[in-house]
Amino acid sequence: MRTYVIRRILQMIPLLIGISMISFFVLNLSPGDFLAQIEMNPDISSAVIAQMRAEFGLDQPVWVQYFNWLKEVMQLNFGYSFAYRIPVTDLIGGRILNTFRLSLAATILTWVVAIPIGVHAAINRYTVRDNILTFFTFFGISIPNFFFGLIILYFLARYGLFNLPVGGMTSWYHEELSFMGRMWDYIRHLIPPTIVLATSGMAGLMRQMRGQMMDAMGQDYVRTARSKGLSDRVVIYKHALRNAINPLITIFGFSISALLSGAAITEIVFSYPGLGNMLLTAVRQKDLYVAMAGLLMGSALLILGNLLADILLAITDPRIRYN
Amino acid sequence: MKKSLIVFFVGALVLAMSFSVIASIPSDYVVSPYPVGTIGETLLSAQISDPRTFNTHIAKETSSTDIIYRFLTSFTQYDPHTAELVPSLAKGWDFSDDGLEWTFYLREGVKWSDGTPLTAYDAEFTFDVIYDESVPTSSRDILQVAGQYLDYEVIDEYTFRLYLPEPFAPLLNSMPMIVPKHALYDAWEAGMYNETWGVNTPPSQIIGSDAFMLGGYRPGERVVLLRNPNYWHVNEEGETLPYINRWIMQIVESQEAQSLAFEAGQTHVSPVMPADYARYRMNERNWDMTVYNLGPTFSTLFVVMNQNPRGPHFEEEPYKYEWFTDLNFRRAMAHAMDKDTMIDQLYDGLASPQWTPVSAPNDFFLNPDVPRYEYDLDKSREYLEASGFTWDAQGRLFDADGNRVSFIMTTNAGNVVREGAGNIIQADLQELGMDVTFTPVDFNLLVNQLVSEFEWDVIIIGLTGGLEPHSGRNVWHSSGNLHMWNPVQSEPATDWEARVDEIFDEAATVLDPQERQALYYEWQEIIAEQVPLIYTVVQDSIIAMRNTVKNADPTIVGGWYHNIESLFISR
Repeated sequence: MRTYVIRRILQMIPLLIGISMISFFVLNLSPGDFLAQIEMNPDISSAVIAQMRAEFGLDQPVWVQYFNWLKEVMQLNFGYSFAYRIPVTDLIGGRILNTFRLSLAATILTWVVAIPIGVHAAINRYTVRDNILTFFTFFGISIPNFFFGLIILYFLARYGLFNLPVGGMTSWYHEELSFMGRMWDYIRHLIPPTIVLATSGMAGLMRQMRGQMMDAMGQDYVRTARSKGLSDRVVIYKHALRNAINPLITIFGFSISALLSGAAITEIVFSYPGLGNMLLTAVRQKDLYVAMAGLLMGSALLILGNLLADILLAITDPRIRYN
Repeated sequence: MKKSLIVFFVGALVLAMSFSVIASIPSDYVVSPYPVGTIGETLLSAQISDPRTFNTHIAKETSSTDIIYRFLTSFTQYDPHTAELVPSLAKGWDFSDDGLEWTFYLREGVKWSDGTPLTAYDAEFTFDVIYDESVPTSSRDILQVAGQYLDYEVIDEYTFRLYLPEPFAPLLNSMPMIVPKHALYDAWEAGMYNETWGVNTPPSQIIGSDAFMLGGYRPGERVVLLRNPNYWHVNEEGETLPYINRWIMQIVESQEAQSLAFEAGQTHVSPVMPADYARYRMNERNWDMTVYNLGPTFSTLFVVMNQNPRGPHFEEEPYKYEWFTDLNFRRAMAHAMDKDTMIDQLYDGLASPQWTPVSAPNDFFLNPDVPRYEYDLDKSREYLEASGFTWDAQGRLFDADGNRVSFIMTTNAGNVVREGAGNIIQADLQELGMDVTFTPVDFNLLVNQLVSEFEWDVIIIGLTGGLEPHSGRNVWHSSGNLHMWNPVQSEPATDWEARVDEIFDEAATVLDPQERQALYYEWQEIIAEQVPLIYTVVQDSIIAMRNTVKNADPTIVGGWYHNIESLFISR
């Protein structure tokens, strides 16, 4: 097992280099660079733009730019942001935590709600309750996040529901609050975006769980367990559920990669100072090194998430062995 | 007798006290003309995106300058009501008869927010930085006269002189924000100027001279500005302004969310989208606020046709080049702009038509009598017939050589207003029998086409204008890189472009305002006659302010914050 994990981690290195190379060249394939944005400004002459282009190294061939960048990244220097003129790590650092907090809250809410509902719906399949639960989760998946977000914001602004804030991460008087007050301030601001994010992921997960559970309930070993006279509770949770949950562990691995990048739209709607929002702007503005850092981080998380899922599978399912 | 004596003493005492207060205030300080208010409270506003830097010479976008210009000041500023240039840091200026020597007199006793005196040496340092070619600032282009840098000299602590190679009318307009030498000199000496005053700099190191100073910045959340205790404006009672203790600009990245934040009482002031206008007006009393329609903004929206012989696609389709350089064709296009529909559909009626390159608020230079092209498709047909265009039985338009009139119109994707305008224009042009394909593309792609590839037919785009026509030189001079229809020409391609070049070169050196006005009037007439750009409509600027904010006096030139030092919040 240990050699397997080490091998997988070593495999990450060429994989990440490959990903970075493709991303770098694809980012450069689309027309225009970072400075195209200011070329339409009548106040800025072409001389200043040419000077900035040379300063940023954007006047060099793409492969030269790539290898210069790679050399720096090998020494863990992710470069400067063109737009902010500060190190990429300074720019991204604070936002990683913000997004992580939001995504974690949403992921927990999604799983805590979706798994029991899925199991419940599978056990009570085709009943009215199953249909109602299915309807509500589908409502969540079919309504776009930005639209649901705006509706929630509208009700918060109009009717002051539960006195929750209209967007943001902290109140403007945040620094003046006590420690507990500050914590509550964070939580208050997290509630609306968490609901929006969680509802969109719930339906898929709940349907997966329901389907897997229904399959498992139809298996011979469940009938055997029942005929042994085991209680419903033991049959469902000890026999069926443990077998049904395997594919969901794989999904869980994938959802780790989305932790830092899956919330961009919701962040914009709720003015939440997250990473997704900033990376989206960086890609659109071609703030090259910020975009690259984001892409690398997303890729690394995806690979690690997959590895984690594989390890978890080996733990939960004794039939799986890596050698 | 006794009573009157007491009254006399008390009167004398009050008089003496008020004198002692006034005596301690430097006479060059500015006294606010607004009613006296009370100090305290926090003002809340919203802005659409994060600042990228707090360094005025690095800033290239309004999200940064919107904050930098709240803590730095210049020699001059625009009067918010009359749009004239009036004293700011300089209490006055004069110039030699030949217009080559300009002397600025700084206000005495003005201090930076950290208490250091602000002197002519700061101005000297500012010019040193601007003329340092390793600093990528657009001020260097603006402060070049006849291709040369200006000479400058500190006469004494409060007198600063500029020497010009030839007279330069937009000089007062081009005065830069003065930066503090004592805070930035070391970084500049060390070659680190471009990285100083970034968004990661501790706010206490950022020194200002305006009513507020930087107090804090939480990325993606808010910028906090604090009252500058050393500000050089006072009220009638001699109290140092501003009244507001703290100004918090929350970063809210969508207009809808800004609007909702205002509605929920989380901000004191907010821009109003045209679609929200009616609802806001209805709720003025409920929300205890006032909606101000400030009239047309400085923005523009226009249609431009490619008249560049270097366009690579013109080799295969030379007839397109013939159409776009045909004055009758351009005028036919101009008559096909349904401005009323644009105003109604794009701006809910809150916009007005634009006929010249000068923005509507710029009263002094705006020529009201230029030829206008009213929406009239019959006139368009007359112009097309005059150039030999014909229609077949299905109403399709062909040029004199029998080529079907068919071209691609584009704009930047994602800009709802420009896309909407494109759809309206496309419908009218199709009515004229033209085959117009409207395909919005990515902004970067569009800019690339405009400034270097030249492979485009018709583009809908806009620019932000200002009060000084000369700042549009890059667009109007045939050598300019934003001379969109045919950029960076070595020799002007047409006689009228040659004349526009002359006007721009001459108007920059003529100091008499009336003469400049006459020159720029002529330029607007030429542009209206030749229609290289077809102007469409310009939206109104609408803002809403809570009634608890007193002394509110928003104007189109100054915005709502031009008198920020005199605004106060009553409970």
